[in-house]
Amino acid sequence: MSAADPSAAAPAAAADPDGPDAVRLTWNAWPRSKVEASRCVVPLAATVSPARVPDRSTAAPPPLPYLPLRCKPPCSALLNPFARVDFAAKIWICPLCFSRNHFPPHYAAISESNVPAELFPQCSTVEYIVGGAPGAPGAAGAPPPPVFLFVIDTCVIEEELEYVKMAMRKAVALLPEHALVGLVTFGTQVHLHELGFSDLSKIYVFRGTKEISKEQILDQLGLTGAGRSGFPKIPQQPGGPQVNGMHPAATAGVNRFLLPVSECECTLSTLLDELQSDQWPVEAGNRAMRCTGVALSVAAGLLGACMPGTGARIIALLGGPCTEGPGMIVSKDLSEPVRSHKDLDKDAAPHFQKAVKFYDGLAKQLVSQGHVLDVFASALDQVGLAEMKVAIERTGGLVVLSESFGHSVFKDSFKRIFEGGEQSLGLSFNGTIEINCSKDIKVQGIIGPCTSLEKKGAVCADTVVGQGNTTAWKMCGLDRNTSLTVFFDVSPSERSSQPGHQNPHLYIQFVTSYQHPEGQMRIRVTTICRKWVDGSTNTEELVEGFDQETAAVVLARYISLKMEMEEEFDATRWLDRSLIRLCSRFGDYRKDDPSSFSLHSNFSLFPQFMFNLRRSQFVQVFNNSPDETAYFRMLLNRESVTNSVAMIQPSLISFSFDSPPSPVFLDVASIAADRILLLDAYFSVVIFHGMTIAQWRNMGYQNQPEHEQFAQLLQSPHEEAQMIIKGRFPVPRLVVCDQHGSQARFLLAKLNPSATYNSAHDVAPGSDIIFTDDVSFQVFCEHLQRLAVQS
Amino acid sequence: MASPEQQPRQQPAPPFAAQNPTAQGPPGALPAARSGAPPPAARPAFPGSPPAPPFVRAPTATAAPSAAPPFGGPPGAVSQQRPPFGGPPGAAPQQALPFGGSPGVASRAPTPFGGPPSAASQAPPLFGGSPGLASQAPPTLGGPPTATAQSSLPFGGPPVAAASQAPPFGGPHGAASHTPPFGGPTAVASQPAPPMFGGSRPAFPGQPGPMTAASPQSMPLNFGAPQQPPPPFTGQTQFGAPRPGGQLPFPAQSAPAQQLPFMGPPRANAPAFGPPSWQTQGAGSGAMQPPMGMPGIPGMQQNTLGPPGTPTMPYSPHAGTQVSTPSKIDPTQIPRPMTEGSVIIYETRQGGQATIPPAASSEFIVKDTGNCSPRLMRCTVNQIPCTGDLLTTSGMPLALMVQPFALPHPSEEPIQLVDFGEMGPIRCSRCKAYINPFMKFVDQGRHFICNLCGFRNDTPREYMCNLGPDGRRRDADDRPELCRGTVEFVATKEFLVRDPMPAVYFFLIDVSMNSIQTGATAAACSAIAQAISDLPEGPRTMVGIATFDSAIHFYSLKRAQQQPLMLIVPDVQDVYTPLQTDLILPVSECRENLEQLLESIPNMFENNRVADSAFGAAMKAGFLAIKSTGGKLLVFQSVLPSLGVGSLSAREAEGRANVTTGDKEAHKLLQPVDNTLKTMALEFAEYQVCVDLFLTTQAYVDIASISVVPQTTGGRVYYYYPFSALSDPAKLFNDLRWNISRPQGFEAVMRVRCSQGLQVQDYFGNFCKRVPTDIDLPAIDSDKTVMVTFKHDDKLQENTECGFQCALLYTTVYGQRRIRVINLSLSCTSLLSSLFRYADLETQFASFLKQAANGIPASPLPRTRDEATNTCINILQSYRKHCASVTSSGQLILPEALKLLPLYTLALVKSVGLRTDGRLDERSYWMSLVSSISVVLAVPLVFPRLIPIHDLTTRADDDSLIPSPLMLNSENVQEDGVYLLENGEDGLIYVGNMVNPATLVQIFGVSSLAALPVQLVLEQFDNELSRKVNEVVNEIRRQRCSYLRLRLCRRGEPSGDFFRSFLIEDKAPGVFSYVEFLVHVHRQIQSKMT
Repeated sequence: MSAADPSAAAPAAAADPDGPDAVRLTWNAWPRSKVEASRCVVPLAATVSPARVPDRSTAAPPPLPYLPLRCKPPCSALLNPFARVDFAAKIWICPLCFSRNHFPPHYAAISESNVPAELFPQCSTVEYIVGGAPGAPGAAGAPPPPVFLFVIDTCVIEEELEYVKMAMRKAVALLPEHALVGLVTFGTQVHLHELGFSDLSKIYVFRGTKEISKEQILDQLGLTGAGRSGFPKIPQQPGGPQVNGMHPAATAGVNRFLLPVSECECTLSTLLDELQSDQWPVEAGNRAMRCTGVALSVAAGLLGACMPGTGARIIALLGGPCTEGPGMIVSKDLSEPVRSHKDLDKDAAPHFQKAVKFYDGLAKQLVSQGHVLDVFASALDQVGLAEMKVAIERTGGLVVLSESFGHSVFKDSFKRIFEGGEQSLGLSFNGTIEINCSKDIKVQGIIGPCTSLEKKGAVCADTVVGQGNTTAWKMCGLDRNTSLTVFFDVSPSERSSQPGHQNPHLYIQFVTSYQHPEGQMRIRVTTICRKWVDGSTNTEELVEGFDQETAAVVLARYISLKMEMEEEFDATRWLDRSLIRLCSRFGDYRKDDPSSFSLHSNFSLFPQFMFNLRRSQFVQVFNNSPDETAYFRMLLNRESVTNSVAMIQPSLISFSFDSPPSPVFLDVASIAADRILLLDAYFSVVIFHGMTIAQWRNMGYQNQPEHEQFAQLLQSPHEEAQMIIKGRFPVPRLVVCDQHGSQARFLLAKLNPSATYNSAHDVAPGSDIIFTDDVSFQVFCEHLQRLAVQS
Repeated sequence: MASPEQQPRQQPAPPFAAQNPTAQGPPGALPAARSGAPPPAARPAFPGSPPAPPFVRAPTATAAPSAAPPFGGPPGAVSQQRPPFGGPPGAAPQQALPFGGSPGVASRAPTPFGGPPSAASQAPPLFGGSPGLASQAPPTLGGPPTATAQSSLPFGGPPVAAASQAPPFGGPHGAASHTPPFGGPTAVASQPAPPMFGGSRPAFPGQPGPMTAASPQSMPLNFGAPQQPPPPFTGQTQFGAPRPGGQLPFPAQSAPAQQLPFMGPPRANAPAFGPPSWQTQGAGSGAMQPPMGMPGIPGMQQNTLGPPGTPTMPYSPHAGTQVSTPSKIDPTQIPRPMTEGSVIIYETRQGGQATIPPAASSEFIVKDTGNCSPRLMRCTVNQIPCTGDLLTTSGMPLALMVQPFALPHPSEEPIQLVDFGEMGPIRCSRCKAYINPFMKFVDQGRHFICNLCGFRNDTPREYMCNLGPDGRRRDADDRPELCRGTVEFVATKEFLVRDPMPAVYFFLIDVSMNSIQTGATAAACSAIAQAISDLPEGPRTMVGIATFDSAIHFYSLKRAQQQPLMLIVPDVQDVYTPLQTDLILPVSECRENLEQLLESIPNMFENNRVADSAFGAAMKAGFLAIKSTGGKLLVFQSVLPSLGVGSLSAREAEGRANVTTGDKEAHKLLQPVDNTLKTMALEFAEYQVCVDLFLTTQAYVDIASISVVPQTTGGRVYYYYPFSALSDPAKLFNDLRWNISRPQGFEAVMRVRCSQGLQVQDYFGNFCKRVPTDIDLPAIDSDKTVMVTFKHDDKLQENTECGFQCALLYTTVYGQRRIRVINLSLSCTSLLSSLFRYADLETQFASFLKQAANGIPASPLPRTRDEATNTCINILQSYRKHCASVTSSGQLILPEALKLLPLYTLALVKSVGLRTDGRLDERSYWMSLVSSISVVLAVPLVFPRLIPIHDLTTRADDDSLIPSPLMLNSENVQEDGVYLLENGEDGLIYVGNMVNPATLVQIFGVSSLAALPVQLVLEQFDNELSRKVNEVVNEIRRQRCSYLRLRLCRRGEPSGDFFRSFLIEDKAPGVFSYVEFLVHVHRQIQSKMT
C-alpha cells in the first residue's frame, strides 16, 4: 500500500461533504443479510445532522407552511419524493411499506404538472412549519421566547469572577430583547435571584448539602399554585410574550425569576456588579465548598415549574469541582485528588457512581421538561464533566472546557452562543427525531446528543447501541452542527429473503420536529434511498459504497461508547483486529504475500485513520483526565463527520515561499526549518514556525518593506487559523509556537513519529525528531499488510 | 466607699429627667435628642434613655464619669460612684435624711417607661415632665395615704398630712421635719443605731431580738362570738403578751399614734401594697394598737364601725359553737392591705444579726451591712427552721426569690466590684463558695472557715490579714467582699470558656399576610427603628434582622453594598443560614441601612398573600445566624405558626369541637403540644441565645407551646391581644426599648449554695437546667426572678445562722465577665412561732403563685384552685393549732405577718390563670409571666390596684402621686366615676355610665360616652385632670417597669365584665366573696381542728 494522498484528508471546504440531506452512511450499498453485514466489519450506520442548514448554494425549498402527509400506521412515514404517486387515483404509495394512501381533499389539485414541494425529486429533505407553539401544530401565535437560565459558580478567585462578569455582560447585551433570563449563583449555597423584585436584591438561598427534589423546590419557591405564592405584585401582562404557551400556574414564577432582557437588564447589571466570590470561608488545605449539583437541581426545578415543554437552556459556568451535596465528585479535603482514569478503572473513585446517578436523574428531569444543560467549565483542575456528561449529552447541551474564564476558548465560545446571523449556532430546542425505514432494516440505536423516548416499534433491533430500543428520540437542544450516529441492523424476514421480486432500494426516513431558533415548530423530513447489494460475492458494489471518513468516525464513536460501557475493553486490540479483518475482506492481495497488498481508493485513508485513532485522545485516555476524555467524546459524538475526522486525524498545512499553502503528511518529516505548519486538531489549532522562519521573524524582517512577502507568509497561517476558528464551536485553542519551543509539543504529539531518537536516519538539517517509542505509521502498515494477507 | 458628701449634690430633677432643660447632669442622661420632633410614629416614651452602661461602676470616685442610669435616672453626679442601675449618686446625703429625702428621691426615679403615646408635637415629657413634679414626692410604693375624703378607717394608715402640710417627701428638710405617720423620723435620722425602719413599720414590730411572745402578731378574726367580752382587743388579752412593739424597740410605734392619733378621717380603704401593716382599730382605741383582734364581730362593731348602708354579709354561725344570733362580718373590718407610709432606710444586718426586710412593695433604701439587699434575694421566712419537720408543720414554703439584677433604689450604694487580679476570687476549696462576710477567719487569719460547708481553708498568702480584737479581720470594713452582702468579682480566665460574647440583637419579624394587614409588621419595624438608639453603645453591639412568612428572609446590611440584600431561606423544615458572616453587623456600621430597611419592610410586603408563618423555622434560622456568639433573638410573631419545623395546630378550636375530651383534658391544652420547641430551646440555650417573643396577634397562637422557648432561654413573652394598630405600637416600642435597655447580662450561669443541713431542691424561672446544681441563663435581666426551693437534709443548729449564697457568672452588655455574689445569712430557729412571726407574706405568696402556675398544666383547674386554698388553710391551721392558744373556736386567728394570706389566696384563685372562663392563650401567657415574676409584682398581678381618676384634681393634694387604691369591690366603683385598675400588665380604665361629660372631655377629649374610642390612646390634653391622669399612669409604669396595656371598659360590655372580674372581693358565680372565703377558711380550719 502506498502512502495515501494527503490532500484527500483535508476537508474540502467549499463543497458540502454531507450533501443536501446532511446524512452520511458508512456503506452506501447494503448487504441483504445479517451475515454479510457482519462481514463488512464496519457497522451499517448513518450520521445525521437533523438541524443542519443547507448550504446557500443548494436550492433548498423554503419551509412548507402546511402539515405533512403521513402514511397509515404503523408505518407513519411522511410523504416524500420516493413515493409513487397515482395522480389519477389521487393515491400515493409509501416507498417504505408499500401501503397505498389517498391524498386528502386539499391535495385534490395534484397532477403531474402540479406537485407539492415535498414530491420534488431534489426535495429529499424538506421542512414544514407546523406552528408557533409546541403541541399546537398549525396554531398561530407568537413563538415562545428563548429562555436562558445562567448558573454561575462563585467559588472562584476575584480575577476569574471578573472574567465571568465581563462575559455575562456581553452575553446579556447580545440577547434578544424578548429572551427570558434567569440567574442562579452558587458556591457553598445556591442563590436563586428573583429578578422581578425591584425593592432590593432578593435571593432565594438553598443549602448545598442537601439533595432537594423538584417538588420541594417548587414548594419552597411558592410556585405550586395557591397558598405559598406570594408577591403577585408584578402585574400580569396580558398577551405578553412570556405568557404565551406557558403553564398557566407558572406565569407568576416566570414574572419573578425569569424576565425579558428588556425588563431586567438593569437589575442584572447591578447584580453582576455586586456579585462577589463565595463568602463562606475556605479552610486551609481544603477546596471551596461548591454545590454544583444542587445549583443545577434548582435551576432545573425552576425551569420545570415555569417553562415545561418550552425550550430553555441552563447555562452553567463552572470554576471547579462539586465538593458537597449531590453530584459531589471529590471531598473538600485537598489531600484527596480528583479521580483519574486509573481510579475509575480500579473502582477507586468513591463519588463517581453516585454523582453519575444524580446527573442521570437530572438528565431525565430535564429531558422530560425539554430543557438543555450547557456547561462551560473553566478550571485548571477537573470540574466533574465526566459525571455530568450524561446530563449534557442527553439534553443535547453545549460543553466547553477551558483553563480559565479569561481564556479565549471560553470567552469566544460563550459569546458565540448568543450571536445571531451568520455566526449563529442555530440553537434549536425541543427536538424529536423519528426514524422510519424499509422493512428488513432495524435500528439498533443512536450515539449522540439525544435521549430515547422509549417508543418501541417494529424497527427496533435486538441488539442495542447507545440510545436504543426505540423509534423516537428526544433532542432537547440541537443546533446546526448536531450530528447523530444511527446504527442499523439488517434482519431480513423469511419472506423477504426469498429471491426474486425484491426491491433494489432501501429507504430510510428521518423525521425531526424541533423548535426553530426563530421560534416556530418545524418538521424536517429527510428521506434517503440506497441500494441493496445482492449476494455475498458482490464486493465491488460494497467497496464502491464505502465512506471511509464516516466509517472512521463511526468506529471512533462506537469504540468510545464501548470503552465507557464495557469493563476491561481493549480498544487498541479491537481496532487492530477490525482493521485487519476489513483489509482481509476488502483488500487486493495474494495470500501470504504482504507486498501484494493494495486497497481500493475508497479505503486508502482508512488505515491511516485507524492509526491515528489508536493514538488519539479517544483511545489513549490515560494521557488525559476523565473530564477531558468526557469532553472530547461528547464533541466527537455531536460533531459532523468532517469535524470529527479532524479530531481523529488532524490536518496539516504547510506554508512556505516555495509553494502555495498545501496539505502535507501528518508526519514529523513535514517539519522543515523554512516552513510554517498549520495543524488543525479540532480542539487546538497550532501554528508552528520552522527554525529559520522563527529566526527571521525574531529579527524583524517582516517589518521591513523589502520583505513584505515574508510578512505575508507569516500572516497567512494566522488568517487560515482564524477561518477555522470562526466556523467552529467550541472555539479551538490557538497555539503559536516555534520549532524546538516548549509549545511545539502540541504539534509533535500529533505527528507520525517516522523519525525518532531511535531511528537510524541521519537527521536532515531543519527537520525534527520525536522522542517516543511509539511505532510509526510505516511500521504499522507493514504489520497490517502482513496480518491482512495471512491465511 | 466614696464619700458622697464630697460629690456634687444632685440636682433636683424631674423624676424622669426626660427633658430637663438644665443640663446639670451628664449630657448622656438627657435624651434631648428625642425631645424635638419624634417621628410621627415615635412616641417620646422612655425619656431618659441613657447611653451609659448600666453596670459600670467606678472603682474610684472619679473613674466612671456619667455612668448614667438606664432609666433616665437622675442626671448629675458626674464622676461619682454610681448605683448599679442609675441610682443617684447622692446616697449618703440621702442617708442623712431619715426617709431618703426628696432631692435624691425625687430625681431618682428610674424611669422604665416613658410617656404614653401622645401627640408628636407635645413638647413636655409625658412622664413627669412638668417641672412642678421635680420637687414633688417621689413615687412610692404604698405611699402615704392620700387625703381621701371618705376615709373611714380611723387607724388605717399613716395620718394624712393636712393639705397645707408639706408633702412628706417634698424636700429634704421637709421630710426630716415632717412627722411621718407612725414614726419618729427625726429620732431615726439622728440616731443611726436604733432601727431605722422600725418606727414606721408597725408591721414588723418583731425585730429579731429577745422576743418571747409567741404571737403578738396574730390577728384573730372573730366570727359571731358576741359573748366574747372584749371584742376589739381580744388579741391583747387573749395572748396576754405585752406588746413588745409598744415597749421596747419601737417606741415610735405608739408614740406617733398618740401624737397624731387619727389625723385624717377614718379611712375605709387603706390601700397598700406594702407591708402587712394592716391594723385593726376600734373607734375608741386611742393609743392602743391592737396588733390582732380582728373586730369581726358584728355585734360589737355595730356601734363603732360599720357605716350605715354598708352591706354586710349574712353569716350563719357555726352550729354548736356559735350562738344563734345571726352574726355578720363587717366587710370593712376584715384584713386588707394598707398603704405604707414612707421611705424606709433598711440596714440588712444589725448587731450581728439579720434584720427583717421591709415588705417588698414598700419603698425602702437598703444599706448593705452584710446581708444582701432584699430586692436581690429574699426568703419566704426570715428565720430558718432548724428541722424539716418544723417546716412541714408550719405548712410554709422555704424558698428564696432571687432577682439578681433587681433595680436598686436610686439612693442605694452601688454594688461594688472587686478585682482579685490573677488570683481570682477567694473561694472555699471544698464547696467553692465565694468569700463573703460570713466566712470566719481564725488562727490569726491564717485560716478561714466556710460558712456554708464548714471547711477550714488556708488563707492565701496574698490575702492574709491579721484579726482585730473583735475577731474580725482588720481590713474587713475596707474589703467589700468581707462587709457587703452583695459584691461583684471580676471573672478570671478560669471562668471563661471563650471570649465574653458581644451584645447581639437579632430581630425576627413576621411579615405574613395577617401581620401585614393588622399593622403588626409596621409596628414592629417602627419599634425596632426607634429602639436601635437604645442599644448598648460600642463596637461590640451587633444587630441582625430577618423577616419571615412561609420562608425566612435574611438581610445582609453590609455597608459596601448598594442596597440591602435579601436572602431567602425557603426550606422551613430544615433551616440553615444563607451566609456565614454579615448577617449580624456592628450596629454602628449598619444603622442607616437598617433604618432604611425597617422603613421599607412594610411596603415591600404590602401585598403579601402568604398566610403561613414559619415561626419555628425562623427562630431556628435566627439562632443559626447568631449561634457563634449567642445573643438575643427578638421575635415579632402575629399568627399561629403554621408551617415548617415547630408548626402548631389550632388546638384551641379542636378542644372546643371535642367537648368530652375538651372538658376532661382541658389542662392538657396548656401543656406544650410536643417536644419540638423544647428541644430547639435547649439548643438555643446551649449556645447562649435568648428568645423574647412579642405576640401581636388577633387569634389563638398556642402560647402554651411557644412560650417554652423564651422560658427555657431566659426570655419572656409579650402579648398584645387583640393587637390594635392604634393603641399597641406605643407599648410595643416601650416594651422593646425596656427589653434592650434594662440592666441585663448574657451567657449567665447561676448557682445557689446554702449551709449544710439544707440543700437546694429545685429552681423555678426562665432558664435552662442541664446539671442539677446550676442553671443556665442565656440572658438575665432586672425583671427576672428565679425561685429556689430548699429542703432539709439535716438539722440546723439553733443559735447559728444559715447562709445562702447565690453566685451569678455573667457577661455584661459591654463584654466583661463578672461574678455577682449575693449572700444572705439568717438565724435558725426551732420555734414555730418565730417562723410565723418572721414569715414574709409577699415572698411566700410569690412562691404560691409560682407553684400554682406550675401546677396548672398538670392537673384539672378545680384541683389547682383547691390546692392553693388548702395551702392557705394549712398554714393558718398550723398557726391556730400550735401558736395560738385561742379559747374561742369561733375566732379565725391569723398570724399578723400572714393576715392577708386569705385575701391574696382568694385573689389567686380568681386570677386569670385559674379562671375557668379565660381563653387558653390568656392563661398560658399568665403562666409564662408568673414563671419569672418578681416578688414586687407577684401580688399586684392577682391583686390589682384600683384607683379613681375622675377626681384626681379635686382630692386634697397629698404626698403621693398615686391616690390610695380602693378596695376591690363593686361598691367602690361608682357609675359616675372613672377608674384605673392596674396589675402591672394591663391598665383597665373603667368609665361609668354616668360620668360627667366634662370629665370625659378632660381625660379622653370626647364629650360623650358614645364617642369614646374602642381602642384607647391616652393622650395628654391641656388640662389639669388629663395631666394628672397621665402622671398617675406614668408613675405606675415606672413602678411596674411595665408600659401598661390600657383598655377602656364600659358597663354592659364584655370589657366591663372583664373589669369586674378583677374586683376580687365581690362574689362571682361559683366563687366566694372575700367574706365568704374567710368563712370558708375558718370552717375548714375548724373542721380540721376537730
